Amino acid sequence: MYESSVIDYLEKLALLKFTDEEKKRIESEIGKIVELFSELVNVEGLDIVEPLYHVVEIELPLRDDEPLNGIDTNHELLSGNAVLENGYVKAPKTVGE
Amino acid sequence: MVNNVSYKYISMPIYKLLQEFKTDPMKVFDYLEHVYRVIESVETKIKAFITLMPQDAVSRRVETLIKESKGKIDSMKLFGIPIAVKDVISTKGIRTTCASRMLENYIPPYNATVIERLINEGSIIIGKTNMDEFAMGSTTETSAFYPTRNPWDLSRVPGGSSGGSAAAVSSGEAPIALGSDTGGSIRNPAAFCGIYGLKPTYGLVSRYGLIAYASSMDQIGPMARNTIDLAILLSIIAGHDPKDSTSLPIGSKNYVALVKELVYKEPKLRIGIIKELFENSDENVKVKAYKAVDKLCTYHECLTVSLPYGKQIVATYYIIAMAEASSNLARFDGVRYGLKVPFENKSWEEVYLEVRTKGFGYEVKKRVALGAYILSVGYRDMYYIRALKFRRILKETFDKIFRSVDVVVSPTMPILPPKLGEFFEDPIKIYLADINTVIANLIGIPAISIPVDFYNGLPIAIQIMSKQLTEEILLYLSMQLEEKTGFRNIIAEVH
Repeated sequence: MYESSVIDYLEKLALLKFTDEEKKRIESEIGKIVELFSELVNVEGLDIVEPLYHVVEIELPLRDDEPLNGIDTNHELLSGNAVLENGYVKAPKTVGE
Repeated sequence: MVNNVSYKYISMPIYKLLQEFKTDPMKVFDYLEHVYRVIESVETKIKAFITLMPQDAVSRRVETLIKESKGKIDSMKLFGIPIAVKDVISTKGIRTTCASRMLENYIPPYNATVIERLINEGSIIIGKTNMDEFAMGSTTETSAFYPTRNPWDLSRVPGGSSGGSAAAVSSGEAPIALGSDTGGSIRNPAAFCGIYGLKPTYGLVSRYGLIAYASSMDQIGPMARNTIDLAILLSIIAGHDPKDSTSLPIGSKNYVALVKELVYKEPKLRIGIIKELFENSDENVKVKAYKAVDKLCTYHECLTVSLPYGKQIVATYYIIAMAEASSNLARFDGVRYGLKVPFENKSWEEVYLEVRTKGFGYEVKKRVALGAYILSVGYRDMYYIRALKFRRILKETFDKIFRSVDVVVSPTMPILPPKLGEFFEDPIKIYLADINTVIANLIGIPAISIPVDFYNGLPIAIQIMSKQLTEEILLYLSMQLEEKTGFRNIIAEVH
């Protein structure tokens, strides 16, 4: 069983809340998951290899930075529930008073 | 059996249907009539779809298609063929939910590249299929809407995360389907539902329009009831796409022609049997899987290969997947699309927290939170970097194996399809059941799941993996095995 302070930390880190029921579940699961992750601690030769971020290790071509069949002329990319004001998308305020 | 349905028609492979449709385009309507009768009869029990297109809308689409395709029908590779599409792939004008409350009402303004290609070849989308929420799961039980049931046994799961696609194909609701596979999400449900499924080489199929889970491992792939249909669908969706920067700069191949050529020439291959992955499987799975492999070994040269890692592989997969998921799913802020909460007089942080709390289900929250933890200061080196290092060791292990054999074989899943709810208490058990499938995603190689037999009425499948960009070899062996087992075009009887 993990302490609830760990769950609080996870919630803060991920910017979300678990319900009480979800908290009970994750408390019972997280120990087992971390234990599984710890399987990597004792793998021989791990220190001497480079991390493999991506399975295709060739340089992939980038296309020219030009729009392809642009579809956003009328905010088509926005769904009906985006709040628009003067042609701009309205978002929650990001700075305090 | 559904009344008034011709199962001979419903189970017909798409390469035969195509001949019928091209001779007489009106036959598309006949076939659709049969498909919709099956759907009407079984869908309430299976629940394979999240969004099902109404039959009249589909019929109108076919009318337009016939009109617009005059003179071009012969060259279209999927003319009139209905397809079910996993609800993680963007479809213009058709709701795409990822089985999440977050995107419950999201209607994409554009098509994924794979969808554009299907439409250009004359395929008809009949619906969007159920899945684990944001593809996170192996049973289709984490869908925010409802679980899908296995057509072979309604008390069991269809596998996941592409469980809706697999159930639709195996029950006759659609002849072919698209799935996506990050750690086995095509192959696992294909195995549990008794159909064929292929995860292509990373970068072979465009991910443009695929809603991301773990970008370094996600691939879209085909699902079908026989090998040739799988090859037809793969030929259409494969090939370079400038809209996906991880798409490999190569054209598509005609996999059907390649498979036929290989079947004709019948090259003898060296097949590596991964001992540990057989030994770690349930007894019933192991026995049937070995029996199927024996059928290949009467012709090819088989030898045992050893994989000296077990739980480390699963740990590596979940660390990388959760880390990438925590980053990918940060885009759902509810501002431009997706779940909306009122934000007057609330700070950005309050709104963002509320959107994520209400929009994501338990499994998604858990993976996003653990992913954030894995990437946080102090733990990044301990977990994430270590996992990436092990990923290289795993790749090198298989590079070495592929110097002595052409392909490797194992059961697709080490277990039979579990009952609904069976893994609820012990998620680690279901994570560990992914061991055979996650390897291909971690190192970017192709893998196919081939149904071979039944045990107590439940399908059993083997998985074959090969070097990057050798999908035709997998299809060749699948075709050979299909000939020997006769496991083709089988529709589950739903009771």
